[in-house]
Amino acid sequence: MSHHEPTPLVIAVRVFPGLRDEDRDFDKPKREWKRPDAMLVFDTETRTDRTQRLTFGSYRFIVAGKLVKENLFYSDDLPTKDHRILECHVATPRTVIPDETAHDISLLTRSEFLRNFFHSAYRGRCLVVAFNFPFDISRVAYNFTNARRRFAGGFSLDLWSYSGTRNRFRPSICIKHIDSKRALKGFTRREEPDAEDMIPEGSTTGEPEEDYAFRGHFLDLRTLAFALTDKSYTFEKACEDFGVEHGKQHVTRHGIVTPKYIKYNRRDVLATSELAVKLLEEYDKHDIKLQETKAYSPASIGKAYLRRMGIKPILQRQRNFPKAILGHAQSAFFGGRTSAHIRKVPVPVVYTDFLSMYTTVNSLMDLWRFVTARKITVVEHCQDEIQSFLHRLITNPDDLFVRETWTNLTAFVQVIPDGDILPSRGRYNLESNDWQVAVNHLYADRNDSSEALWFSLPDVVASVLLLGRLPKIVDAFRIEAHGKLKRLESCKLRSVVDVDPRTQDFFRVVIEERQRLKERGDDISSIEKKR
Amino acid sequence: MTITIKIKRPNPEAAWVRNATAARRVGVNAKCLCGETRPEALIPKSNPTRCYRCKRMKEGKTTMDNHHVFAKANSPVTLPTPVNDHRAELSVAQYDWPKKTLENPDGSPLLAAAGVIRGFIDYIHYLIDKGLAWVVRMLEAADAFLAKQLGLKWWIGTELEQFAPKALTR
Repeated sequence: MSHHEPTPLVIAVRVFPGLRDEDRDFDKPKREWKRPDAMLVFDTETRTDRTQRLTFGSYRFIVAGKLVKENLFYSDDLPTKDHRILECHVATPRTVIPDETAHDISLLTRSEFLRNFFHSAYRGRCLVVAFNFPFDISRVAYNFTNARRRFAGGFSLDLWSYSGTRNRFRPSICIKHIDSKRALKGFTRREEPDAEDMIPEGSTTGEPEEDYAFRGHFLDLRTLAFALTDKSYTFEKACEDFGVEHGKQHVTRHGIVTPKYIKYNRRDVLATSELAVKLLEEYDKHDIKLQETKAYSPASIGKAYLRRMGIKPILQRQRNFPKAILGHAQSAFFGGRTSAHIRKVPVPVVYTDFLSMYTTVNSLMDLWRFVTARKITVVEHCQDEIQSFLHRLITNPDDLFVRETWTNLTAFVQVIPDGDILPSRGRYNLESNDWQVAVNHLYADRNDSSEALWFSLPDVVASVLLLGRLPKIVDAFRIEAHGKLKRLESCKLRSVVDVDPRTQDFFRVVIEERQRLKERGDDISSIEKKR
Repeated sequence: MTITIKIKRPNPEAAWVRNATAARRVGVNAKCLCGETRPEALIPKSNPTRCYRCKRMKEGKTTMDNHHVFAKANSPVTLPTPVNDHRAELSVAQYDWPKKTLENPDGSPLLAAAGVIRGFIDYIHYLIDKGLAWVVRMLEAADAFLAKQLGLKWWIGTELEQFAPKALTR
């Protein structure tokens, strides 16, 4: 194998950010979340040019599963001709599906829609439902600015104006994208809020709190579908996979207001409301205390299950756990990675399928003992022990086929990289300029301990196997689990699978259940199985 | 089963918002010792949660209010109404009226007439709900009970037979 000259590259490491108010947050009693019985489901249509400006939209206001109002709204600059088509449509209201009860619909201006939106979403605190919420809500905004504080890096959308400027007595909506499926969303504080606005969600006393600001209940179905399935869904596919009765329809031309197009939009809102019901039904099968509006990913649901089982984060268990150790471990974290060693050359391959890779590794390393441990201790400066272990592996790599070896890999090693094959996070792609993880021959600038980086022991083992030599180890620590948390509780996964965190390995239960699912033919529908 | 009479509410969204806000003001799952749970009938920030009726009883005051059936701006006519119903049913129903009809600031006779009709409808609904709905529920429960005890057509051979639909149409 030929080695090229190393290319200088800036690398990044993860850090453990110390939380300023962590102690306060730990003790803060969590209020019970109760899902509002009303939801405002909306969808917008836009022009097809690059501005993608709003043309019209519609919304349904649903209380306790029953439609109480459906309205259309239109943009301020909609041409008169299009406006007439909308007026005609509401003058002769027709239901979008044959079996729905006939009801009137009204045509609102954008401001009238936003007035209703303010009352329902902010004052009444109903669920605001959309598929790809950030796009739709940005269509009805009249202005945006750069968001600040927790939404820094995102947008602040101004929806309400007064005499041409932002209405300070109305909140803005901040949106910060995490990725294509997820975004943080929230109302900002408005000036001179009413006393009712300052009553915290779930308050049993009704007492306003000075520092409370209601952030909204924005439910993006795209995010919720992702959190429930770990799949990135289109609206159409989500309707299909969750068995929505009146799914998405198609229209030949977008952007032009026609009676067909209006009906298409109304039908989309109906499909969105039905999808919301299906997704919430699915969500309710999980016995967890997590607001569905805060379920951003499968990890959110996973963490909620850990809380449900009485498993606390390490700093809640051991407040004096050394934060430097957490920092070292965090900097050694690289998550998952994919690699292609030979690109763009057709070669014969052997298809090797790992079932539930992350959870399998967690189970084989017996990491559940750490998750449920009453106490975790750190054996510091054990570099000699690690060095002799790695040395043994060079002469006898078959040790890695022994199960016990895997459970002993729970250590972190500080290495001065000198051509070792180790993961690093850099901007490898000049075009995308994203931070990406790659496994390369890594060199430090100088042979100096200040250049040393922390890696998990399995990553170092991989390098030793590939190169057949030991890295320059500066320091190492090992973690050990002691006892079990006192208040561990059993729970049922998706209301079906029993898990006892005291006696079972949660990771193993999940893997086995996934396998069993393929063979189950009893109470589970084909739609659910497919998902 | 409850009887519901469907009247078109002009703004059901606003009605829901009012109810949600009232519920928040008194706190989650708020309930008076007497069993009253309607948020509008409960006193915000009372500890323990108490309804207006219980408060008045404790203070030795009347538990009846004089409700302006047609709205104060339209007519001085009042009807004595239990305070909790006044707050949680009849006043709430009036919030659904058009603001001009409710407040009638210029004293329009037509708006006053509209208010009288609206008030009459609201009060009739209230009376039906309070006065008749329970009778319907009771009759249906009694029929089910008798059918179980005495069998189908339990009324044959009793004095109640004369009220059977077939007998009435003879």
